[in-house]
Amino acid sequence: MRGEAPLWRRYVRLFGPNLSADIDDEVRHHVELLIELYIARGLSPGEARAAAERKFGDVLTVKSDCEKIAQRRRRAMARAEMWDRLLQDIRFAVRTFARTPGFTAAALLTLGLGLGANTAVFSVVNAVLLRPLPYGEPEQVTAIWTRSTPESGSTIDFMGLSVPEFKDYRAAARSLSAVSAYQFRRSNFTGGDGSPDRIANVAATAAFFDVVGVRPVLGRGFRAGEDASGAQCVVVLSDGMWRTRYAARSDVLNQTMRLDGEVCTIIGVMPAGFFFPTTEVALWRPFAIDADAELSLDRGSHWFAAFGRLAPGASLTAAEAEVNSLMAAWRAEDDHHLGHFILLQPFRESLVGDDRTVLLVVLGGVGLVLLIICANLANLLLVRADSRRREVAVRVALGAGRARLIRQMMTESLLLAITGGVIALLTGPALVKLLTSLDPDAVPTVGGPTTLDARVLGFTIAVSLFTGVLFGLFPAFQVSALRLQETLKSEGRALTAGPRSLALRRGLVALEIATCLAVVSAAGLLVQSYQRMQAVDVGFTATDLLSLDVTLPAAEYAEPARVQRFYSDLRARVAALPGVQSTGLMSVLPFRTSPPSDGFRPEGRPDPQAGEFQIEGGYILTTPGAFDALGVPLVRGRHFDERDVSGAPLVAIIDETAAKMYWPGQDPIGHRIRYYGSDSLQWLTIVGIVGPVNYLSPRLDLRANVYAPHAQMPRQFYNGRAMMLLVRSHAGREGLITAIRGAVKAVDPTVPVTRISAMDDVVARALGRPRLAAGLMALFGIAALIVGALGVYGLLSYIVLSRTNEIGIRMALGADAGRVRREILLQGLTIATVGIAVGTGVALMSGKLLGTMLFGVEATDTATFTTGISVLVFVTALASWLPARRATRVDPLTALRS
Amino acid sequence: MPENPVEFLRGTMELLVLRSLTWGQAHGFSIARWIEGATEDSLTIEEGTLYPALHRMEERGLIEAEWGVSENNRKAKYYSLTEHGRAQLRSQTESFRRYARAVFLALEAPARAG
Repeated sequence: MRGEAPLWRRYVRLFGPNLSADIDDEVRHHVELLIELYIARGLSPGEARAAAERKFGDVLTVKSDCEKIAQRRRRAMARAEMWDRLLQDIRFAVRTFARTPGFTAAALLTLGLGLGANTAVFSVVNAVLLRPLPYGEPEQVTAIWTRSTPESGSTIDFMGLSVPEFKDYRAAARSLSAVSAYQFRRSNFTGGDGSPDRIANVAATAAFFDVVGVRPVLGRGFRAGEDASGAQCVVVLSDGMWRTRYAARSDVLNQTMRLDGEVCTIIGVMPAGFFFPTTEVALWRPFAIDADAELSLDRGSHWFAAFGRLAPGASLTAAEAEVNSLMAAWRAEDDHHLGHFILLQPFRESLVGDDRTVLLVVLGGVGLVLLIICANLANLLLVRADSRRREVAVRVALGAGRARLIRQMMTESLLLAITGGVIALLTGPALVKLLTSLDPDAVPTVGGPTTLDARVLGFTIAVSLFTGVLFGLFPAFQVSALRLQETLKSEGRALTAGPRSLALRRGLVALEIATCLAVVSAAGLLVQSYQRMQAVDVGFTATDLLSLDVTLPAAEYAEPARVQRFYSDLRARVAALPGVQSTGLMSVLPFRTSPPSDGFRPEGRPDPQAGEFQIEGGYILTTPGAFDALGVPLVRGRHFDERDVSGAPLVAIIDETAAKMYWPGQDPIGHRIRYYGSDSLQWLTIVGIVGPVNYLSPRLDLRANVYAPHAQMPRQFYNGRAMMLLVRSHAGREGLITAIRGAVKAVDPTVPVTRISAMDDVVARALGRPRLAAGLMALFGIAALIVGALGVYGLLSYIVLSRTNEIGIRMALGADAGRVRREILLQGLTIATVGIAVGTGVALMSGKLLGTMLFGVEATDTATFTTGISVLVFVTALASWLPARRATRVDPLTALRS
Repeated sequence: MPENPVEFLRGTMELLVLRSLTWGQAHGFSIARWIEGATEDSLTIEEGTLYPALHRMEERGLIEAEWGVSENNRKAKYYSLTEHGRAQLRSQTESFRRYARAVFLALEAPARAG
């Protein structure tokens, strides 16, 4: 019958159940009873034992089976217990946080925002730098550039290729399995649903689809020979184009469209998500690099981009070495190749360019702010842990283990961190959206949208947990180092921290100040760089200036006379619009397209020898009125006017940069120049000099430019059909645009007006990245200062509070209030000094990392660092002054009584 | 002991153990005795295999165990049915009945016509 377990067993159970002893007992009991049964039936003890063992079966197997089950149960119980404890810890942590809602809210707000900002920046980094490009084995795709060193006559790092060079590489390079030349274009498009439009497209040689390693989902790619000059035009649509203009119909194949007047047949549709080189590109078509006989033979005309696929097993460096050895061989045959090299670049890098540095710097900045937030939280948690020392001591006295206490503290900080992480996942994408809507041009993108994918999710979770461990470790160890007896005895003085923990807190605040200084000075350098870039005189006046593309279809405007008539009619109509101050057309606009750079020969000067720099400059077509509209002053000579038409003597205007570079100490007016190739028969007489214009970027040095009248179009390759209209007017933008559209329509209703933009915006866009970097870093700097100041304030308030007693006594004994105040202030400033000393070193190093992002300011700019340090000293003093003042307001009586 | 004892069908031992515990708690030996008596000793069983079965059933929450002292004052592990075990017994008994009936029906059915 049922009875009480023997005492010894209950005792054993205190140390946990002894399962294998239990099994032994049970089995033995059974066998013994069997033996007794058999003896009772008349068997001898020996026979009874044998019979019992037969009846029972193999004892060892039974035992081992039972033990396996027992172990499985033990593990399951341990797991359940662990979850149970964790749940307990979490419940306890939630209760503790709920008791201090102010602290909890402050901690979650700073941490959530800090982590959110990190998530936001990382999601952009992920989209631009990490997400694989939508190509087959994307890491095998490489951009191919020419690099020319001064020996070649110019110095450019990333230059396009010429036709003969491209053909040579294509034929000879074994480490590239496929190469394709391509050119980015904008073309007038008619077809599908909707009105005529101007679309971005890429012309590429037939191997294009082999290089990208992606096939159309519908139809086919280019066939060999389809890129031959004179071949029938075929196009492959992007998924976006297929959806918007063809309603994703599957019968688009073999339909035709018009591109710049040419009839093209749709042969394929690319998969969704594919882009090359940007998402703007709506279709791909064959690129006839041989279309112009002269151009296709000229090694010096580097006019298109190229990319290739590395052969299986070939590395980028090996491929680069191979093509450069080919180049060396050609150098012996043709001195054009003197000083020419080939540069292979992972394709992503060619898309991302300098954005990588910008993004990594911003990520670093936001990471540092998070570090400051963590240090601050660690400090807050240390104070909290201190104020809970009695609670903890009591728990220890009641038998809670150290490990359990550490786990409890870590649970609290991890819970904080995870909640912060959840806030981050909610706010991060919103921050990206906010930033993009505030400054659409500033946030870099490559292809797809900036989304919350698995990588961003993983990053946020990892960083959240890491921060949790980071700021949770200090209080956890402080608690575990607690001396039980002292704490329990020191009743009433539970707030006083030990000297070690105070030193730790000072160290954390000093770390905050050091990090602050690094962020603030990086922000200072970037803001100054941006201001210097903004202040650069770009040579034109962007305000009140509207620009738009008016490109004529090639088929209808094959005749140069028709082209000229269109543009002069348009100019006359626009000039007559109310409120228009000046208007004109140009083939190139600052910061929108870079001028084609061509070598020319001034009359009476020998051609440059190999190794000498060639005389070259941007070549730009203009109509009368263009310089006025752009706001470029005439320095000497005259503007183009009605005399400068086809048939009249050819004229040119150069800018001051060209005048200084090529006619130093002379008056270039009246001098003549001519271009190379078939244009070499024409002499252009210089009739005027205009102010220099910076077409490329405020960051780059001025380059020489040559302007020719659109009415004369003295050079062969430039057909003058893609002009940009400039309109200077105070009139309201909307009305003006409508009026201009009307004017274009009146001249020819089939001509599209595209890319309408205020030149102010164009300039702002050109400075988008520096503005992003400067703006975000400034924001991070301010955030760092606020959090850092809170850190100083919190620490000193704590010190004052814990010394209330002592200060009270001193004041009662007649101590000078000013002296007490100074003492507290000094404590703050001592910490600041340590922080600043460390921070200056860090800031100098991080300044170097900014590298190419700096403009017009040294990475070690003394003024910036001095300002940064002064700001920090000021902020620290301010943050220390409030607690210092409170210290002297201590009423001795209250202080002593408390 | 009959001449040709029958092997246990899978799952039957569990059913018999559950059934044996309906009259109150019992230790392994008395469960074995009950099965022996109730089946008129016609099922072969190596009684040791009872224990892994008992422990597994305990793990699954069909029965629970408790150490106690037996009639002749020896400590023994007593098993008793849980609510879950009781429910299991009901449903298993029912399905075993249906199963056995179906098998008998088939075995005793007349020969196929034609």
